[in-house]
Amino acid sequence: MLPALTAVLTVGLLQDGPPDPAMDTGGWVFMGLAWVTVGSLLVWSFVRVITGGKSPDGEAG
Amino acid sequence: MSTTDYAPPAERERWGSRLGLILAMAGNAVGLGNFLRFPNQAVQNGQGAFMVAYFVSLLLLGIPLMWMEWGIGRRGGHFGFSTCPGMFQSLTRAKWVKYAGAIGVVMPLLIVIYYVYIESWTLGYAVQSATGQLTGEDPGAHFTNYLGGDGGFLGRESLQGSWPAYTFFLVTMVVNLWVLSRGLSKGIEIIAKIGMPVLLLCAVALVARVLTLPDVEGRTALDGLAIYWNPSQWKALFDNGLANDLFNKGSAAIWLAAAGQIFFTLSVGSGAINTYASYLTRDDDIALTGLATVSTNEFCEVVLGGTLAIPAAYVFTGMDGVMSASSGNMGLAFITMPSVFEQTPIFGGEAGAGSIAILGTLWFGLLFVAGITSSLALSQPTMAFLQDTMGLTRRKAAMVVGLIILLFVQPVILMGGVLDEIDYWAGTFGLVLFSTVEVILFMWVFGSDRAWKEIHHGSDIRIPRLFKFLMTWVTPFVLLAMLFLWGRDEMLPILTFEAAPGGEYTETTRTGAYVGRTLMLALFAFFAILVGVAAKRGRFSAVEDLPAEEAS
Repeated sequence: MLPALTAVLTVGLLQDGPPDPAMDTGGWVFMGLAWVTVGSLLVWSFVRVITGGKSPDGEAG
Repeated sequence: MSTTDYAPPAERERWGSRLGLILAMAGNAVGLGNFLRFPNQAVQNGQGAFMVAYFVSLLLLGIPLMWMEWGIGRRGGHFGFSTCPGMFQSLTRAKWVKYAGAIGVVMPLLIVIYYVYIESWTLGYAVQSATGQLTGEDPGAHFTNYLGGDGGFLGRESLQGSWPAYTFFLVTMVVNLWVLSRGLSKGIEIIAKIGMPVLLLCAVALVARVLTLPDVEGRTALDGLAIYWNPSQWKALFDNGLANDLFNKGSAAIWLAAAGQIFFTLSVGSGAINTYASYLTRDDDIALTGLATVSTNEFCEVVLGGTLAIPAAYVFTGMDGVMSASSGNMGLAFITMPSVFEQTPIFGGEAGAGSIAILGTLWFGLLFVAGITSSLALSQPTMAFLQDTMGLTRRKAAMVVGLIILLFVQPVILMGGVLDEIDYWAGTFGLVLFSTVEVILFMWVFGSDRAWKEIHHGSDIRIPRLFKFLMTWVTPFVLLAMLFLWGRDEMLPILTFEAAPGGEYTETTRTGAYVGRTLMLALFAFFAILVGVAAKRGRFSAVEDLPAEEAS
């Protein structure tokens, strides 16, 4: 994910001029990354909540 | 003396289930800000560039502050405090902090005073959509008539047209108070368990309709999404000048707007999260549960909220229409969206009365559910303060909250400018200020090691150590920098009424601003006095020496 984010950031920062009226490749990658990250975090956290279980010592790692 | 010597009062309320807590916390966060404020802010503040600043702010400010507030809240609850005066006192021996904590009671109350009013508009519009009263109406004229325009109700020639808005406000307030009077597990938690799934269903149904809209003059809903996600304007993030004529925003404005949205959407800095977290038991997890609520909020904002109003408005009104609709606070929701719905065909039929009845009811119903779960959370700190610190019963506390709202909302309803003034100080600036106080108290005064241990006590996950560094240094630094920038650029003209936040005062709104500030100061003074009375009664004495004893 990090290389993709770096790539899209680089491409974005190199672009100039008025915004495209239609979704471009950078837009698809950025949106995809954002949606997948948020969605994955949502699913992962709820699965962990439902399956439960404390960490072995309950202390900071 | 160890912390275990302090037993929480036996009669303290508790959450009925972990899922109920998560949904209530998510309901607190998911509000009108997700579906209205977020699209407006994104469009007006750099669009694609805003989204980058938004995610950076989420990582550096939102998530760290959220965990800190959960930690402060659960710790306070362990000592029998559900609001910030007692919570803060348990972090340091300094006696004045309990008065700073009063801000965490007053601010959510101030927000809820106008929030319930806005929430009532959504209920009114949902009913009017369902009963066909919006069909064929000019949405702009209808909205102005509903609220009385910039001058509020007093700006009308006759008060006769005010009764629908006033009636829906009273109904909304009574519903809120009734739920609050039922308590945590039988009131707030039940509403969250019903409301959040309903909200998600409404949002998903609307998103499905928006994404399958037919092209209008070559414009598609996906093109509307490009407004948020195309990276063509990211240079604006590092531009000290103006990005270009269309966006008209320098980099500082984009970063500040994104950070402000993160505060608002996650409800950090208001004291509401602290209060909800105080009803956890000492060994309950907060690290994973907090993350689950953040991810629910972000899903509702970035994925659902971002895919609704702006793409739909873009299809029917184009870029100029989107820029115009998002420039006001509420125009997108109450003027543009009814117009869009009236032009949207559904079930393969024609657009018209049927479509506005169904889509309008879904849209305004969704906003009402989002609003009520948040207004309940914002009311709870005052409820808890009156119960825990002043010894009132739940029913009496609800009556006092209702009385304060009813009294203070009158100027908001009747006069133009009061709502915006309170929103600026309590719902924008105050969140940053209070967060700064919290982070300094928790991470620097209480100590980062103890704070980190506090957050991890009973946790189901281990938070990456990077966040300890962020919480200790980066988050406070960013907050202090925001306050510095505000002090340098805005403080004097705003304090002296030379400039309105984000614009200029008219004669009417300036008067409203005077009234708004007077009300805010009066309410803070009232609660500061109550904190003093509680202190004299010895309410805080059990925790006043606690921080030093724990440290030794």
